[in-house]
Amino acid sequence: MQFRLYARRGASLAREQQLPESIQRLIADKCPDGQPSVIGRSDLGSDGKYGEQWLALVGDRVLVCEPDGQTGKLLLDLPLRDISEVDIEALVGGSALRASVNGRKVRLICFTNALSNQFGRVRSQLDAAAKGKPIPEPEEKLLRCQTCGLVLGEDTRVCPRCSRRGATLRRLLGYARPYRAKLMLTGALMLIGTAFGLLPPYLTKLLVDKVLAPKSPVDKAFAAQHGIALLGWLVLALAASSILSTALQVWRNRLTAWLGGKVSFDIRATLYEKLQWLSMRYYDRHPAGAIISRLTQDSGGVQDLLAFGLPFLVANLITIIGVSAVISVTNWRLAALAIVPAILVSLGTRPLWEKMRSAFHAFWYRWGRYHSLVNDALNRVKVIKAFSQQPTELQRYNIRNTDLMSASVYAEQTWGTIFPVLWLLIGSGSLLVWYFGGVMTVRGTLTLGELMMFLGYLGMLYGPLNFLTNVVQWVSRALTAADRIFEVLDAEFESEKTKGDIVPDRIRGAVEFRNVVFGYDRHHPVIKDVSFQVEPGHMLGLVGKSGVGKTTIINLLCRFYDADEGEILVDGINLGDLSLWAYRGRLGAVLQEPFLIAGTIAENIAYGKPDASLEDIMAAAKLANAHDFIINKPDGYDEQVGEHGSRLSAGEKQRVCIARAVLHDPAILILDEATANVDLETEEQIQQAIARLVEGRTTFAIAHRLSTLRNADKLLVIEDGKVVEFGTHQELEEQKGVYYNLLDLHRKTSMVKAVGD
Amino acid sequence: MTDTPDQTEKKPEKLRYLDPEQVKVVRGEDGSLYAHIGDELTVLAPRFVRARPLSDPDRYISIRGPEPNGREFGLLGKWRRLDAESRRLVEAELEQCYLQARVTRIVSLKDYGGLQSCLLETDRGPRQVTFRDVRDNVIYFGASRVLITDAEGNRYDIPDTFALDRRSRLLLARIL
Repeated sequence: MQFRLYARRGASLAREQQLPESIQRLIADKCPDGQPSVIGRSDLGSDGKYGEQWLALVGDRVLVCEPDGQTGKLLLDLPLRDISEVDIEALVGGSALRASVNGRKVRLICFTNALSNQFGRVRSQLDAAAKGKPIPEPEEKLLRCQTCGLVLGEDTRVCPRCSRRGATLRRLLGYARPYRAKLMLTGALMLIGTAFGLLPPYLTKLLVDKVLAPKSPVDKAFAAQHGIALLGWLVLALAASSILSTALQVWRNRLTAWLGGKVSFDIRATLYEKLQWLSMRYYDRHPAGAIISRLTQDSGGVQDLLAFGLPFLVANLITIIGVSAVISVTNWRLAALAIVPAILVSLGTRPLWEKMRSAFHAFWYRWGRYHSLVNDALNRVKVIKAFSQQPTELQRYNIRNTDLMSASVYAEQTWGTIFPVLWLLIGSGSLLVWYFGGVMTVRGTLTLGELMMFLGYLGMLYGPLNFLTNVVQWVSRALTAADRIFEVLDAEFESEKTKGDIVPDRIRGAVEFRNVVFGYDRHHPVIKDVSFQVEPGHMLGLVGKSGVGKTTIINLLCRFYDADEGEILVDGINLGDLSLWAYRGRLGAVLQEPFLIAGTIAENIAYGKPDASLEDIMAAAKLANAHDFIINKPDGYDEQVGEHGSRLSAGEKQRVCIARAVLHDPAILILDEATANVDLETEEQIQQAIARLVEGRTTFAIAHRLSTLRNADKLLVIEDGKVVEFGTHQELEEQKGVYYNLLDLHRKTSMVKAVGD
Repeated sequence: MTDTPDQTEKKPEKLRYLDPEQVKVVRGEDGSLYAHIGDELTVLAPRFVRARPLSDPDRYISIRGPEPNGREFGLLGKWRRLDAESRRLVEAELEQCYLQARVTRIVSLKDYGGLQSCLLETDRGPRQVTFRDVRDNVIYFGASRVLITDAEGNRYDIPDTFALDRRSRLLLARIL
């Protein structure tokens, strides 16, 4: 019922906007000549229970009311001019829309998380109105399935309820299209192989009726004369058909193995390529372990299906059809006795598809979770040991492992129970044939040879039918896996929102933020109305406590995320219009956590410029004060850095990263310095290297130390996502504001340090 | 405030490249090596260090002071163009410093559950080696070059696995 309300997308928006009559009367009463320009409907009553409240901006007043009898009850009436800002306060399980009224925060209306999107829109509209800006058009994001109304994630359009196995399978087979010729050959081999496979029971019939137990006088006479010769020929034919059918089967198996491998190779490659281009938002929401499992487990499942499941399915279907045709022609009554129970059982198994699918879905999901846990734990083995948390970790592990075990036991047990029972039911047909066929043979309406042939064909029929029920497992497992892969393939590309295509000749590095608003969760802004300008080649120091939004500004500048409101301009061009490729090519970063790829030092330095010569690499390393330590490694520039650079010290990693940035020669440089964990001499070397690196580049430095703050041309002091001070070191020092206090603190700690030394 | 970059002693920013004609290596009467660089300086007991010992061993050689972290006096490209005597001395030094056998054939391989005992034919002669966790101790270079470190930390280079004979390749495929 619930879903039907959201049957269509338009309907859901209309429902949010349609004021009940009592509220309409109340509004007409309060503001006779105003039409509501912003409307929001909450799913909570003023008493905090599930109910209804409405917020409306009518003219210059914000009204909050709830339906109550003929005319609604007015809960709040605020003049718009008193409101300076509107934000959303995150509560537990819900949120509240909040207004700043004369410096005080006032809760306007509360709602559950189900409506956070809707109120995110209301917030930005109301906020714009309060600041005298034009009210933005409501932006409706498709968050529900258009067919069934099921709530979907922001990043997926695949509705698990509406996705059909057939569609998934068709899409999967689409990947086999390039190998059509081989696919058709496989099909032909299957047909011919099946035809040969059908011969032996028929030959058995001839053997019994013509040679071993001839009934008619003609046959008897023939058998007496040529019996042995005919026997020889028939056995030879039997041998030939078996050998040929086996040979064809081998050929076919080799072909399908190749096809399955190739197709899943293609899918894996597409998937990996897609992963490279997914937005950061996607990665924020999906743990690496789960993604890894899609690349490994899921694509393995798909390969199983393509290489083994599907070909066998088709081969067995052909066998079933062929056998059914032959035995029906021989004796349709007997054939019906054999086939009908089998068909009934097959139909009866259909609901089991769903059961198996969900059981295996649970199993795969827990695999992913298990994988993430192990991955996570192994990555912080040091922390675990340092805090002696092995027992806790073991406990956490055991919980996940038990989860995984119970899911796998459930899935396998369900299957293990269903399967033998099915086999028993299907096999019941052969008992019927033995009895009724036996009666016919005794009465002489069926020859012994025909009965033998029948039983032979039945043996061939039950095998494939049995497999058909077995294939439920293959197929349901693999289609679930395929669904999960396609879900990634269908996720939004990082640059889909704005496809920039401007490729400037060169980027000078002038950067401007214009009223930028951004939140990782779109409706809880972390960056609020930030504006500033940096000249090319200048260094901007970002100052502020942790968590105020410094890194977020950097993330926006890197275009890992797009600003929700406002503009970021580089050389006067909107960042969204610039080709992401060209832009990032001129962007360099030395981050707090130096990231290195597993490979040699030379490869790491040349990461942003793979075609760099050894001379370039060495020159960059020299500039970064890295050349000497590199040369002194046993393998020099060929030294392996290990996974995440584990074989290098912190200071060495930093310098390799600086060398990489030097070689990349970016116009805009991002510097998130951290030299806290290196000795003084190394720190000096790093400082020196950084000083050389920033020369002539627009630099954004997240500044932790005084020297950086002093060297910066301008400083941007941020508090709570807003710019509070902006100017040179000297200007800000004289202002005696936030920066001055920070500086004071810095000096005091340095003095303590000095005394301590 | 002493941590401003301007106040620290600056390390040179640029590399110094040396021509083969500028460098002369001689063995003194006392048996130690001397490297004369130009007319200006002589390094006693120099160390010759390869910049890329694995991927491009002959490309650049750093001539350094004797102490472990000794300073660099210059980078010598094309060191094979040194005069005959210097080249011989440098070659001998490098040969001693970079001990890494090149595998030409894998004669036999026995697997003892995680431990593999191998008889290798190398450019330095035949050698019986033991590999442990061999998949964790292998470096792949491109598609065909493999460097394997044995259980004792010695390294064996197979420059081109495709160039090995068929049997060696089959044996190699069993451990990698």
